[in-house]
Amino acid sequence: MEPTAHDDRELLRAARRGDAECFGTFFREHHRVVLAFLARRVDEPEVAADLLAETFAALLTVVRDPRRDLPASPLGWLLVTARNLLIDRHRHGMVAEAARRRFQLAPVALDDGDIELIVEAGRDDELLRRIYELLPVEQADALTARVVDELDYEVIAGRANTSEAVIRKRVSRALATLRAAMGS
Amino acid sequence: MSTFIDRLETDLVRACDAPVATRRSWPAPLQSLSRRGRLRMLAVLTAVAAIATPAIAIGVAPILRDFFGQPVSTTADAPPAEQLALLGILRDPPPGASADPAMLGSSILPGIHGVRMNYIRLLPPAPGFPHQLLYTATSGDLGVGDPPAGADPAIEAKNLICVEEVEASGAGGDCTETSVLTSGHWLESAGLDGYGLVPDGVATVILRYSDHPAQTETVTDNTFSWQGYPAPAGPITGNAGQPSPGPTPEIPISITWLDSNGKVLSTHTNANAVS
Repeated sequence: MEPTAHDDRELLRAARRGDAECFGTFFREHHRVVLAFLARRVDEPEVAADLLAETFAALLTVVRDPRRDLPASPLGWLLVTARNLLIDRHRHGMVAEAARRRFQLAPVALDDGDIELIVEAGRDDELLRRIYELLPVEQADALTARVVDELDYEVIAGRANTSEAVIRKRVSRALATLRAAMGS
Repeated sequence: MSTFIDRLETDLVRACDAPVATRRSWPAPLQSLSRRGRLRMLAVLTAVAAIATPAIAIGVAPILRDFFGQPVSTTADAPPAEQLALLGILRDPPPGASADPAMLGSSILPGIHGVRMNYIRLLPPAPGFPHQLLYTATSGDLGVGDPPAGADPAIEAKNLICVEEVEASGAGGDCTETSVLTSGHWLESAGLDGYGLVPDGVATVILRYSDHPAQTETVTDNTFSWQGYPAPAGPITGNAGQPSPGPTPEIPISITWLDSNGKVLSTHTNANAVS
């Protein structure tokens, strides 16, 4: 049985109440899809690993702060946060580490097996399945074509037999849906 | 044999389980000091803070907090003349809306000090950036990343210009020195959408890319925005010096500023976008 957003929130609520193992369970459920998302976008496994750690540490800061609402869609929150951290990394040339510093997480050290694991994660179809769970099919189609397969709008529109403007809106709405999941 | 995933999970569970007070790390500048040295430094800092208190509007409600829930100091002082001269939106009365400081909530970036409470502005909304606030701060620790061994990771910068997306849970926003604004590099991106900040006198911007036609955007209240466009084939990677090509689709390779008469004021190249 796959975890739902409701289950995820229950895990995070339990973690907030003090059951730290629940955050571990949440991490086990979702680290693959976040790692798959990141591993497709960076050349260096070390960077993907750092971004993965920072993404989950950032979520932990939310969980540990009782004044903040938990995300309505925790997986959506993770994906949007991972993407924002990735963009920040491109802008600044380095991976943010504020959340990891906050929790004194050990630096990520990778051996050959870890690097192979990350490379494999980049080929994993788990990411696509999760995106389709989160979004209406039209939006998921457009988002995966644009963001995952990295096709341009003209090609996507041609395949979908519709206009580029429609595809742009679908992609924009898909991202907005994921972003809205972070808002709460 | 454990993988880095196993180790990361163990670390996260430990961090989740630990009392917050014992998780709080020493400020970066204190990390290299001995325990006695830290205590001595803290005593000095405490004394300095007590002396400086009258200059800081600590009692102003609401108390602002950063992303990690720590209180952020505030001030009733005005921004420096340089910032007021550059950003019309900061001046009184602002062309746009002023914002209740409470809107900043707990979204302030960690390490920011002296938020100027009377100069918080609601920026014009744009797709992907519906609730952005601009504020300035007297200083902030911009030290991030991996400094060389032995180097001080903290970089205390003065007179910061900050923009926070108050509905994004801590992932959006940036604080930079004023020079970043004048350099033409004040750009934010989220997903396929972008948002920029420019000084007074800039009426239009032209965003240029290596692989498709330029975009022209109008400036409103020192801001402009742009939306997704056909990205090049290939991976969304690309960082200066890395072998894999391809600019990040949100970031133009250059931006040209024009005044209200269409005269080119300046063109700024973005070193982070690979052509």
